[in-house]
Amino acid sequence: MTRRPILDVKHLCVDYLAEDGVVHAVDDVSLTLRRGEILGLAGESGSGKSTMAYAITRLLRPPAEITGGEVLYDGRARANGEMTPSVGPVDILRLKPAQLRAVRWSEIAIVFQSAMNALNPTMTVGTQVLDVLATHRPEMPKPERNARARALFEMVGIAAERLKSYPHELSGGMRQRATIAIALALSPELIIMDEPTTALDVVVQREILTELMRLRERLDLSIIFITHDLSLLLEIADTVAIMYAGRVVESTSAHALHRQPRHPYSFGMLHSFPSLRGEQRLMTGIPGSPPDLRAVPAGCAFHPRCPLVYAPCSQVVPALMTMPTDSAAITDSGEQSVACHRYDPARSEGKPLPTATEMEDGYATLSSAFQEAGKA
Amino acid sequence: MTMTTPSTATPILEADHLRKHFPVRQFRPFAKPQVVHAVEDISLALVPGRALALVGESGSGKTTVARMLARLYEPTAGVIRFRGRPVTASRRAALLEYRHHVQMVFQDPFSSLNPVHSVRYHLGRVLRLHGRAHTRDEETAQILALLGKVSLTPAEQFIEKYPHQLSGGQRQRVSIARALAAGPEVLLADEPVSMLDVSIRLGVLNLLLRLKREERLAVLFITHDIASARYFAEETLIMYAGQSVESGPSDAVIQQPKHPYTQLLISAAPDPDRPATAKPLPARGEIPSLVTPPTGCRFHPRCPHAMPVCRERFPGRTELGNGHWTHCFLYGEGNDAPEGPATTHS
Amino acid sequence: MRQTSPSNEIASVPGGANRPALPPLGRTYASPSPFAGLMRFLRAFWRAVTVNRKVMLGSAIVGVFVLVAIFGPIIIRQNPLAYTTDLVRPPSAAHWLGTNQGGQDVFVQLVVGTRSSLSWALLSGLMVMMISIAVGLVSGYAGGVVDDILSVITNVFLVVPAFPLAIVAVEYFSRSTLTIAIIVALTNWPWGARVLRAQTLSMRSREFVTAARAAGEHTWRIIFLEILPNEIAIVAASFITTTIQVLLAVAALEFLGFGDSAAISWGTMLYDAYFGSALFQGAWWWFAPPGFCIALLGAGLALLNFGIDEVADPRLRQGKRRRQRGRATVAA
Repeated sequence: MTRRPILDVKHLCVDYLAEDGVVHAVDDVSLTLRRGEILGLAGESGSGKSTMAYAITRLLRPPAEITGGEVLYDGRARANGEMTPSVGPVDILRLKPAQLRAVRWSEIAIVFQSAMNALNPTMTVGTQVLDVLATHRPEMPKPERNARARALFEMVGIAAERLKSYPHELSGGMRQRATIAIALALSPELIIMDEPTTALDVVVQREILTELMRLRERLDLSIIFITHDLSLLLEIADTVAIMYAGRVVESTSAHALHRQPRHPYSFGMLHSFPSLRGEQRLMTGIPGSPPDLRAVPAGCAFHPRCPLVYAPCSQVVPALMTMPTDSAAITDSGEQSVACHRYDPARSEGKPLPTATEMEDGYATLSSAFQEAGKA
Repeated sequence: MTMTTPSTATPILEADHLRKHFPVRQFRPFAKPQVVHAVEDISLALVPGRALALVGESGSGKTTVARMLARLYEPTAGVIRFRGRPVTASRRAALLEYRHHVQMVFQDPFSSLNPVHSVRYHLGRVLRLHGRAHTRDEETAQILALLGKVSLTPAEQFIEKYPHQLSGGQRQRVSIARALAAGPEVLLADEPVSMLDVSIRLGVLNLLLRLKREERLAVLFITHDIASARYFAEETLIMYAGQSVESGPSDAVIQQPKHPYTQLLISAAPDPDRPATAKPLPARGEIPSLVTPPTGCRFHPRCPHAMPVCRERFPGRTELGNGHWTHCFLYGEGNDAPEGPATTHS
Repeated sequence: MRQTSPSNEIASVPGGANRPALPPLGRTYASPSPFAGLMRFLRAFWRAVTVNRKVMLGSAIVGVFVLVAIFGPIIIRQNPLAYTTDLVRPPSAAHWLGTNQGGQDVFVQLVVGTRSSLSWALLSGLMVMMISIAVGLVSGYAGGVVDDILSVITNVFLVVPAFPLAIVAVEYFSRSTLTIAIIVALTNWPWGARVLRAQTLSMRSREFVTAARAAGEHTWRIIFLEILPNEIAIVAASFITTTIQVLLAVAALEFLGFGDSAAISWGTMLYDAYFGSALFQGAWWWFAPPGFCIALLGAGLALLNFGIDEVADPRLRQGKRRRQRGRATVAA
């Protein structure tokens, strides 16, 4: 079953105007989030994943600037009939400020990594929920707002008495739950979560994720989940897009990614997380460091760290191309796309499709080469 | 790669029943003085060429243990023994002598190097403090050797660099080189990779693994990530709210966790290979306040198997064989304290 | 879609043949000569001084005054107190800035006075800086009882009224600029000390300080070589601020007649001009130059102070970014 996309990002470009030139933080990124699904966005620092979150909601501030692309949002027509268009998707990047305000929070909400910074330390969390309701739902009677606030807190698993608490009186997990409650206040359809659990302990992280999965079912939420923790995404996301130096290098269903990562970077990332089970063996990881965005390598940005590197890699930027579907692997979540010359028949120079063994051996050789050359 | 049999080698650094209480600074002059019970009764032993992983969530006291072992904090009670001899003197010369043997690597590579000093200064100071270099030429030679040891080569390119000119992974390597500059036998690594980008973590972990093997370092590896504990350390000690709950060979602890908290921790860890049938264990409650911690076993308010006795006292250690032990009444009363250090011994 | 232009560079796999040969350890490694350090410092200094127009102007002004203070009295070998018969003459070729009531040359007095005014201002600024560094860093780093005691002392000194105290002290001890300078220094250090204490407090918990302790570093070295260099911007700013304050305070007290009447400085010149009824006589050349010099030096120092903020805080470097912005929008 294919579900309609709720968010379609097309060729989005974001630049940072730095002191010594322009930095392409997000470079021609296209993503599709289908209704009711979780799209995982994975990447390291400087990959542009957080910039994406800000760009989609137009929260970027100078020196960052959106220089191109579209963010098509296809909301459901609302009963209370605010601005939501009934005909087709709207481009968020072209909304007028008033329309944008209506879309943000009530349609698209964001949860940030640092709950402490997102909450106002001088107000109780209850007041902050009520503020959101009062601003966006002025017609709602006050007792109803109070009831809504209590319901929201119970929904995310906090006792309603906690509405009277100040942020510093809550634990880290509670605070993040409170920000999720505030995000849910206006029953948005889409939530963008930027590293929502990174600062939390594993047990708390698991609780919140479980809660989130329940809420998604119940409220039919669509979620963009941004994190550097790929192993977490494989568990919770439906589709995953992996970013490197501002571009998507692989985009596929979580299942297919776990089973067979195609891009050498995805492969390396997946093999950078020690496992809890199975044979113990020495892992190599990816040699080198993520590039400085002010000096991105020419061609494929990953080529200096890539075990499969060959001539075209340093010359031409590979485009994201749909892989021929591997009959057994593909379930409901569409195609596997990868940006690597080795998968492009026009550029592969007769080399066969890379195999896991080739990539693994390649990384081992590359790591020792790096160590000798001292680029580690 | 990892040996799972307990080593028979003699420990180089041992901690016996370490306890640390921090006074809470209060503004009411006549209020009852309060303390944070950060660490209660932790015993452990470090063996040359092997690593002990100290695993716990924030507030478990794992960093406090490391800082006591680094003599940055004075333990409230308990003994630290280096090569079997208790370390007590806090005179400067004695401390310096101790630090010559025991060094620490810090978590945050962005704040553990001073932005105003070069790599040369960072490493050179430690070399000179510990009398390993006296002239500038000696210093240069030693620094180059150290940088080579942590795979920052060509070392000449790094020696005059400042922290802001280095990437996160490179800084962490400088931090490790600084710890090695004292020529230690024990390395206390406090979450050495948790602030690094995923793709470069393994590089730094593998470097530490190599140093452990080649330099015969005894490593205390502090982490909140139980999977990297399994990858890095032969033995694992799980802490909860300042108490040790379970320890043993890493594989045994992770594959057959006995203590309910260890089970919770492992079921919560991200694991894409987890069978779909294995549901994460339900967690309830949060890490308790350490100013007024729960009595007895501090995990009892969250424990699904809590019994009345858990509230009354902390269980003794139950040996599960093969160096694996736990503090939990589900497995018996255990031996009453005092007991020996956590690993290998006893 | 943006296309990256193809480059001719062939991907070089690290390792292999083109790996640079390492020189043997220690021997061939050329340790930089002492001059290299000096040159680096001078280059950094030049960059700091030319960081923007404000700083350039400020350092030019202060630089000229410093040169005058050092070399002026050597070049002009005239006694500033020498009486002549040219009483209260307007500027002329013989007396560039005219003469005063005693026929003394105003220009010569101005040049000689520069040395006194500037040196006392800088000296007290230095004293203030040293006291505030010592108190602020020790208090912030030590914490506990030491911090409590030093904080109380700081707060007491903070509320001591500087001006009246200086007047009383000058009357009680001796009518010398030294007394004024000491009093001004004693009443000005708490500001810097408080800021430095707060900064040190936050610096103390940074990991590099803990790391230095764990390495076995001496406490005094941690305070003065690890923490202090990170606070240089604050130290420099408080030094400049107090220098301006001292400059003004000394001039004001001297103008009020609490200075050393035998000494020549901008303040005593103003005092003489006032009592010689320069204003009444319309002898503008007598009182305007010292007043102008005080204002100009103060402004120069203030400009430098702005510059320090901008060197230390990248968010304030706006000029550059705006220029960049214009270019970028065209490109995009």
